[in-house]
Amino acid sequence: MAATQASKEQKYDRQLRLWGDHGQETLENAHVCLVNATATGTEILKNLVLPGIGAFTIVDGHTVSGEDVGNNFFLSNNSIGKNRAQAATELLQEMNSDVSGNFVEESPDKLLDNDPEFFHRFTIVIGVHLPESTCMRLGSVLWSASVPFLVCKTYGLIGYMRLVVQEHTVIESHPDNALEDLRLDQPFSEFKNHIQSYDLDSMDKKDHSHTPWIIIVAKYLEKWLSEHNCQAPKNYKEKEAFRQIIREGVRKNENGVPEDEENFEEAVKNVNTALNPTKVPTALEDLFNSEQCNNITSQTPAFWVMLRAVKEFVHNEGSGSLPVRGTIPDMIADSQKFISLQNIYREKAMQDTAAVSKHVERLLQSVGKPPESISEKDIKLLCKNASFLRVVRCRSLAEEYSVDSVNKDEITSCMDSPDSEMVFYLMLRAVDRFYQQHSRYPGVYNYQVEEDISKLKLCVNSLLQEYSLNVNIKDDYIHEFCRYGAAEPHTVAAFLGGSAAQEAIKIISHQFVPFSNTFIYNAMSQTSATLHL
Amino acid sequence: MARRLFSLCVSREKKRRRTADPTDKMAVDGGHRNSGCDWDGRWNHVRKFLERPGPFTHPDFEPSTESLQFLLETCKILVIGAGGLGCELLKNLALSGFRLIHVVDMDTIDVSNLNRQFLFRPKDVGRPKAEVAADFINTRIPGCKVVPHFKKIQDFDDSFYRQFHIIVCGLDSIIARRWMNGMLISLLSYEDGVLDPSSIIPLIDGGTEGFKGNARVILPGMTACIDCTLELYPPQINFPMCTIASMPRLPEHCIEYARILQWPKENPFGDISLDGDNPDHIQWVFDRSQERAAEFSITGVTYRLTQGVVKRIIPAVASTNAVIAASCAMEVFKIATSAYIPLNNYLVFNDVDGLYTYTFEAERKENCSACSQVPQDLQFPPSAKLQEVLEYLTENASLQMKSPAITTTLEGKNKTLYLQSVKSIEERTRPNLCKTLKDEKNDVRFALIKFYYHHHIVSFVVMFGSDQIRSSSESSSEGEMKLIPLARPSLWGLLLLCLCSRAEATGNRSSRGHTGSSQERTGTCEVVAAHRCCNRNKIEERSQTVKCSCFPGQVAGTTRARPSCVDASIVRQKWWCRMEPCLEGEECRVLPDLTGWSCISGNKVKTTKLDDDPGEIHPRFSGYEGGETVFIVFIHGQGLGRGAALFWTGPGTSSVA
Repeated sequence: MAATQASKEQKYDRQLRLWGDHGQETLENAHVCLVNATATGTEILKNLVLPGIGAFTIVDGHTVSGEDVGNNFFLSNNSIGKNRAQAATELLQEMNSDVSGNFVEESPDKLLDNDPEFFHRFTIVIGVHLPESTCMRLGSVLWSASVPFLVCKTYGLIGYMRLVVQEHTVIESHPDNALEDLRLDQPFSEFKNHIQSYDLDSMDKKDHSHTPWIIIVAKYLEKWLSEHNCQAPKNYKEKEAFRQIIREGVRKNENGVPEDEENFEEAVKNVNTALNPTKVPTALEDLFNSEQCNNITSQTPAFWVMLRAVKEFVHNEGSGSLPVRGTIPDMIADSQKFISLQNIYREKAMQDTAAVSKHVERLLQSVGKPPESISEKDIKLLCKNASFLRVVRCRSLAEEYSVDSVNKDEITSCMDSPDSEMVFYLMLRAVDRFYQQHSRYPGVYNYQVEEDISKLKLCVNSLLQEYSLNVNIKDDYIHEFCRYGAAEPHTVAAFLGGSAAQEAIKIISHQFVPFSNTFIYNAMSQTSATLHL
Repeated sequence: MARRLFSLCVSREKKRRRTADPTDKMAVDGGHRNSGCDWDGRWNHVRKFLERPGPFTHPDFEPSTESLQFLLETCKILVIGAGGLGCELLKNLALSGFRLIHVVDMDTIDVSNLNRQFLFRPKDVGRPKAEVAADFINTRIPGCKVVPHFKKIQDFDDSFYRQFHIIVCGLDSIIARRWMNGMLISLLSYEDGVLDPSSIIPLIDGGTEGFKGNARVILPGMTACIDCTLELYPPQINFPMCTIASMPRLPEHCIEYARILQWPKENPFGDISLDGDNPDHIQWVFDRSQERAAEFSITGVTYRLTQGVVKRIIPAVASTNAVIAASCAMEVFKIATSAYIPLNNYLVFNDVDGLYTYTFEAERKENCSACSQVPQDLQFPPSAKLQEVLEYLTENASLQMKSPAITTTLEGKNKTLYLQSVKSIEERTRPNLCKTLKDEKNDVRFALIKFYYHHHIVSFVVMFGSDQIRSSSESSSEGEMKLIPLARPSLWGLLLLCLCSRAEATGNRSSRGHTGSSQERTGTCEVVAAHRCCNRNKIEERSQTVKCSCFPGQVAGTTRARPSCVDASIVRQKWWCRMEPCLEGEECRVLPDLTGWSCISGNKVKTTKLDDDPGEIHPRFSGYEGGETVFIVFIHGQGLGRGAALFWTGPGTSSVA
């Protein structure tokens, strides 16, 4: 029942504007596994089925209870008593015929016992409401198979997510407020020549007021440098003086009154950011120095090969700078002046990309791979985004949970403020401990609430003791968690459903930047925090 | 019973219910309720928050088994918008125990909705969103009674909105948000300047754009309203016309050229306006844009971009809507149950780079034009042109008015100085924009100017201070214009009174010798017949038939209780009070069903009700009591084929059948 390309384009139009056709293609090739079709689980899948992932598989050994139907939109009351994976698959699949839905009526523990490799086939595995032991087992299977794992839990008014991925590379991080790459501090020769082609003094009035601000700044910068020992304006005072020089450049009418020249106004406004020195971002320097970048083998992923090629470029042709991005912002100018300036940058970007391509080719050759194993298109994309490349690395669950490698610093420093979101992380860990000891969650039935408070407190204390965490958890939190009684209110599940789905999309599409590595949502105060554990 | 927020909106119902059946509840609490649609364990996830005490609940919270019954049976929620947020909201509310939900949406389903509006399927394309969404929810969630309204929010009056305990908005338009905001502010009642908390209907508002969104809680009159924080909305990007017309640089400029300039000139599909949903239209714009781009060597015009620019498409994805709607629904639950302290009061969400939320307290603006009741002084230089005033109103971040109507009052008559929404009037009044507020002889040209926006939101009175004015008002200094936005009709009436009396001092002079302005050419009305009779209640009725010759775009109306020509848009949109039908000192209120207006002064209420179809005059007269003189005015506009019948009734007839 695959839709035609045209109708898909219409249907997905609003999201294609966010991640493009190539992003959509990665989604359509993705196979997502959900373990446990709780309200949180189905809400996550809903937000993946709608944008059109290729396929999903639900693993769930539970039968549907009345309580399950109460908070889950994808279970109906006539599914009570049936297998939960099957019931949820039907109603999820029904939303989008482009998506293929599958289910396995088995508990994840059983699958891990019998066929752990079952989980290797997925683009990402999302585990919801897993007991600690299952979570650790599944985590280690996926870690060694390099399959991304997203752990999610809604517990009362608290949402929890943990991303477990060894290494995740992002070329298109889509930064919100990126600085332009204009090279005004170190103009390349074509740009220099272009600047020379302008003579602000001899221009007629119309041309003068339609000269792009980049040219204006470049012109006055030349003048400034010649008068200031080649030192560009640095501090506020110097920049202000520089702005004043530009202001004085505005043409005056016969009465000596300055004309309205918006392009000069733009130039003045842009002085601050335009004079930012061109340099390789430190985060990127770190990536240049990383093991993956320096040790290219035939197994090295394309991202790292291209990154190495960019590094070579910086050290050679680029003379310390990244390839030119090749885009300029819109500005007051007539069409011809703007387009020819734009072309200067664009052509330089193409040249630089070609140079990077040469390095890629050489690197591939050196490890015995054909040059076409990395496409020109990919190299171009990477060069354009060179300043914004991101690599996300998470610790394994084993590292997080081990007494030897637990991130005590993060926990104790957060807990300096006792109401930090960290307290919910610790409470969730204590609740897991409670479950391990009692095979049930605290306060599920009304009559249990009071007696479970002291039992949960014991779990909190033993957790803190085991990890030698010298922190204090207020009793209020223990009471509150007993009050929750493992309830999964739909609104909290839906919040997590939206955010977890987006993180999965980031992992699948390699666009935008996933959180790392633990996220806590507190619906009581509508606050959240990202923790590094 | 002392639930602070709870009692804000729902105390009356609770009290009533408690006294009605104090014992029944006990019996049913333990077992099945609403047998037939509830099942064992159905509300377990919700009940833990309603029936158990906790350390973080609202101070007024009382654990009770009744709270769930309140949600299921009494609490009435209005969801505005059945789109990306609306679908999510309906699901979230229904699964949180709310059953009495109304949903309003004027849209029908488009294919491009299906990637996130999960209650719709390809077979539903073209059907009303509200109806399909309500059907889906009511089918999937037994016992839920979502009532759909395939209508605009403006189609409802205050009596409709007053029935809800909480209103949640999932809108994509700031204009609609401001309208809703204005409506809820107009429902507030003040006693001796003190807000009556029972008149507050909490408004929960969500918004998304791509991977960003926000959710907020507004207690109208108590916390920051939409207009208090207008600066938080990014201004719409419009390209300067000269760029589009003569020096395009971006593909967007070429598309705008084809859309704004070429389309109306060439009318490729006949005399119809460009329809962004018509693929042939988009294709035409795309082709023209490509041609123009080629001419200027501009690259990057694509079909998708063309569509995006023409329809001003905002990217949208399921996940962000899910997050924001969930936060909004959570807040509805908190307010309805007092289970937790509500969000105070603004949440920002962004998951482009990691997952980021930021919660802060948006502050009320002291002189908010919608909710503050405080007049705001804005100064203009003596040489200000009307154009500058207009630009200020539309571009100022805290006003952002869209096509405000500008009128002035001269000799008690309402004159249009500039009106954008009616083409003929726009053309005729455009020359006024170049005029300064003082003429060459330093005379006041526009003594009193009004700006109209949504009738629920703001009325502005602009005053230019002249010597005469200064003599009667020490606060306005010479050569400055005062802009006084007024939120509430009562205040508006009062200020109008004092300003009008000042205006009269300058009125004669200001109406002299401005051939370009419309006020002199405004149509005149003459009384052609006067009738006098007694009806069977022995109350004198006076009526007159009036002939008005109005300019195109105007129709007969009533200003200051006299026949006049008024902008057709006022009549069309039923913004009656904009005609200023009442006498000085009277407060004008539009009737809840928009069929007329009331003029109120003290405890005297004169209600005027119009015939539904202004083209035909069938004045309907209804019951009244008391001995006040009643007179009817028939006003018939000629040359336009439409007229308006206006009549007044006696005191105490606040509702006319």
